[in-house]
Amino acid sequence: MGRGGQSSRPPVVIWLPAAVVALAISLPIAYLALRASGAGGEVWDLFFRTRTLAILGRTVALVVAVTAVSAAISLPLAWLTTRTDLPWRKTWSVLTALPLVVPSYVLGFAVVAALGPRGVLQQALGSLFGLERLPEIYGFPGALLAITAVAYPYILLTVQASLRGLDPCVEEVSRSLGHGQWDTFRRVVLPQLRPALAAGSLLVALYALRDFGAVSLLRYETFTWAIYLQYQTSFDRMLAAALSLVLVAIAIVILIAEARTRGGGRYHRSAAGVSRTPAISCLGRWRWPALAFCSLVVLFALAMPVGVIGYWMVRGVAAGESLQAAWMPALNSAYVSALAAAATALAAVPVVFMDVRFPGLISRLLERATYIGFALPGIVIALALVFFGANYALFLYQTLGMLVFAYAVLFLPQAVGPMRASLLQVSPRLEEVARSLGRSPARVLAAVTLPLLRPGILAGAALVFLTTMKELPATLLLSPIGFKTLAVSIWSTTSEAFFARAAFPALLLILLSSVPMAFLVNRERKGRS
Amino acid sequence: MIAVRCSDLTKDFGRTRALYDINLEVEEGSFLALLGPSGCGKTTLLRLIAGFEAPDQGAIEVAGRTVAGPGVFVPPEKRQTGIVFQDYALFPHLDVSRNIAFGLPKGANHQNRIAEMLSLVGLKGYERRMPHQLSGGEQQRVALARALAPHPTVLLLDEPFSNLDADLRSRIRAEVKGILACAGATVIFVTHDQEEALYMGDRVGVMNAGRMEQIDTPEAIFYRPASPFVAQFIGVADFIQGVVQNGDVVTEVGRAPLDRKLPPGEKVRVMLRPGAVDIVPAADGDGVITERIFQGSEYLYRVQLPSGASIRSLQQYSCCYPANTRVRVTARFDSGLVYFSSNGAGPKG
Repeated sequence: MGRGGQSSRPPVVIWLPAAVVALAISLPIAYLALRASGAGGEVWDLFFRTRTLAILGRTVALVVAVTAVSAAISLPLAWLTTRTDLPWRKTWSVLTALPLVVPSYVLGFAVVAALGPRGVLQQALGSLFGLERLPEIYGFPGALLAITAVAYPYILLTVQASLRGLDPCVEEVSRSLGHGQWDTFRRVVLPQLRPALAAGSLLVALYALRDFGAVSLLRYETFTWAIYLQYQTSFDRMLAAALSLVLVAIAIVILIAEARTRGGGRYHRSAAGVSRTPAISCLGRWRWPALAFCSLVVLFALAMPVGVIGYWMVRGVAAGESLQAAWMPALNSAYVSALAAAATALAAVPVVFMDVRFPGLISRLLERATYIGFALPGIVIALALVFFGANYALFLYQTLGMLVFAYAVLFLPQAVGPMRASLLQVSPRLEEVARSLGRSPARVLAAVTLPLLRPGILAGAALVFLTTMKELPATLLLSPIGFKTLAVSIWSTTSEAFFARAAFPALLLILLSSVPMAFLVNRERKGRS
Repeated sequence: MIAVRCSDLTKDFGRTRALYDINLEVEEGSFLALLGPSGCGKTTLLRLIAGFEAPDQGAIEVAGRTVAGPGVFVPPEKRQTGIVFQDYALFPHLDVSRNIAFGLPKGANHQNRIAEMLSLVGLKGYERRMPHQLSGGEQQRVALARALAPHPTVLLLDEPFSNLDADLRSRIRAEVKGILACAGATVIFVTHDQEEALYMGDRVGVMNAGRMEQIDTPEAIFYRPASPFVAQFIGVADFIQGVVQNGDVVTEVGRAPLDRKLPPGEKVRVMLRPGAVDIVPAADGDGVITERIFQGSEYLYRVQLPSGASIRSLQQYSCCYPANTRVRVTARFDSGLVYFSSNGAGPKG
């Protein structure tokens, strides 16, 4: 029955902007495919060159290793922070999730500056024991450490949520049937966590695949860095385009797998509405190793970057390093992020309205189109826009407009998410009541729908602001000449090993990102109470 | 005066027809209850009248003005129809007085009207409360006040009581009936609860599978159902076979005079209400009790007749017989004989 409300034909003021948005964001990938297909047979040769295969091997090795280590860290952490009497459980729960806000290149900076050849550890050991060399941190081990440290919370958070949602009765039944605590965990709890584990793992895999900052700072040549090098050194655009397409293909495979796990493997609690707090396991003597484990994770993923930033800042200031240089990039970062947040939120509104209020095939296609940003790594979008701008739109090339457009393509899904959730909560009945009380559709939109949608719009914009602040590859390739942001400053000074110069921008970046983060966390908390 | 008139309304959703040729009239100041199982089209009919859907055929008049019909479609905001939804749909970002003022003309001073509505629904002093600070019953009364404030020609209620607990429901029902009567409102309301329809409606429209089976007073619906569906949907009814003989209908539990001429020997289905079936234990009785259901002050018996038909009889709690008792069964037809043609098509009587 047609209880969804309203006539099923959307008004032109909604579908036209939505179509324009969808078309615009499909532009980069379409252009890239066109470029690569125009090259003909040569592209296939490129795919099967040993160098391409070596890059593929390295990328897969990194993705698999990061995902496996993240899962191995997250599973015990999730259990310890939700189901045990671990001392300061709430605090650990917050601290272990925090690395999520640290950009991978800041952790890359921390790893290089702490464990690298001229880093903190080497200097300390050098002065104490005369040690000249540490084991090589560049390459695979460094990249693995840096990316795992910032990506594992994706698994941690999904598994924690799943553990909280499990029906404790099922575990009690297992215990009453004669299975011990460990047996129950293995045979009852773990299988129920599998969907969450899979979903989180795929997010981590996608993160590792798309990462540019850490792999470039730690000089581990995966697809993203190879594409960048290709673009920087030889301007061999076809090879860069071909590599990009391989990267996109892998990303799409991971995304499809992720969508599968989300759709299929959902488990429901057996009794609706009845929710009891699950039994808390007593750790007893085991709490000491448990505490050591939590401390180690927090030490490496959180305390080390903060400590390294602090150390190099103090050293830099002592050595007469000027802090002035960081203010302009900070201003630029905030400015371009605000622009991106506004533009992306604006673009999301018609898409969300089409999707929620006028469901149908076209709406679904539009909504799917917005997910292009999930599939395309930043470096790919940036490259496509560079080619496109240089060939067809020189007046846009290296302008702020082009940069903001790239951000919008990349982060549209993040604006759509909270806005969609918000609009779904606005019952169409509210709009109908308003109509029956004598208001025209436009006035209903202004008086009822938009005010109720405001939290969702703000949350979406805050999320886009946060991620734009941290974005590196697109910023690196598309920024107008002389327009330097915090992300670019940190990356370029670190790659030249001017650690002291990277420290203050890194601090500012973390401080500036925590403003929208605090807003989002606060909103989440309010929403729960 | 007729407040709402629907003529030959038809509505399709894709390839399924939701409404077939609906005709109804609602007198000003009267209550019409639309009753039927879920999916029967009653909510669709309400949404057509409100203007949230457009009919495929037929016309709707509100206060003598055609609001929907061939070439005519008046949008909901121009129809002067108030609506109260099942979930009340209070604007969560507006307080009680702003909710009530939402439909009042802009710029004018609404304090008097708001105060009047709040005292009508018994919520004086609630002006500044937000919707989430109200109980379910209070939310409902605010929704009523909001819908009534702009003096709508007709008030439409969609399953207004189904969100309330059972014990609260009967109290709120009485309150709402009082408020609406006091406001002199014309009301169409949709429900799937027969008790509610009989209590609230001056008239009841029974719908089934997109068709209006019968519109009549509650008494007529109960005692003179127009179709076997209505008979079974309102109260409990069993059917047994009867044969026309000498101007009477003869059944295995008694005979009753026909009100019109039918050819002798024609078979009809006769409706029996449990309250009109008497049983007396007798060794030579034709019926056998197959089941006894205790209902507090009464017993409901299921009795098997020689023909194999099973009917129900309602007896006082003092008449307690065990299962397998042989009984003599007699039906009383003092409130009128109700029968339908044997093939089930077309009501008679």
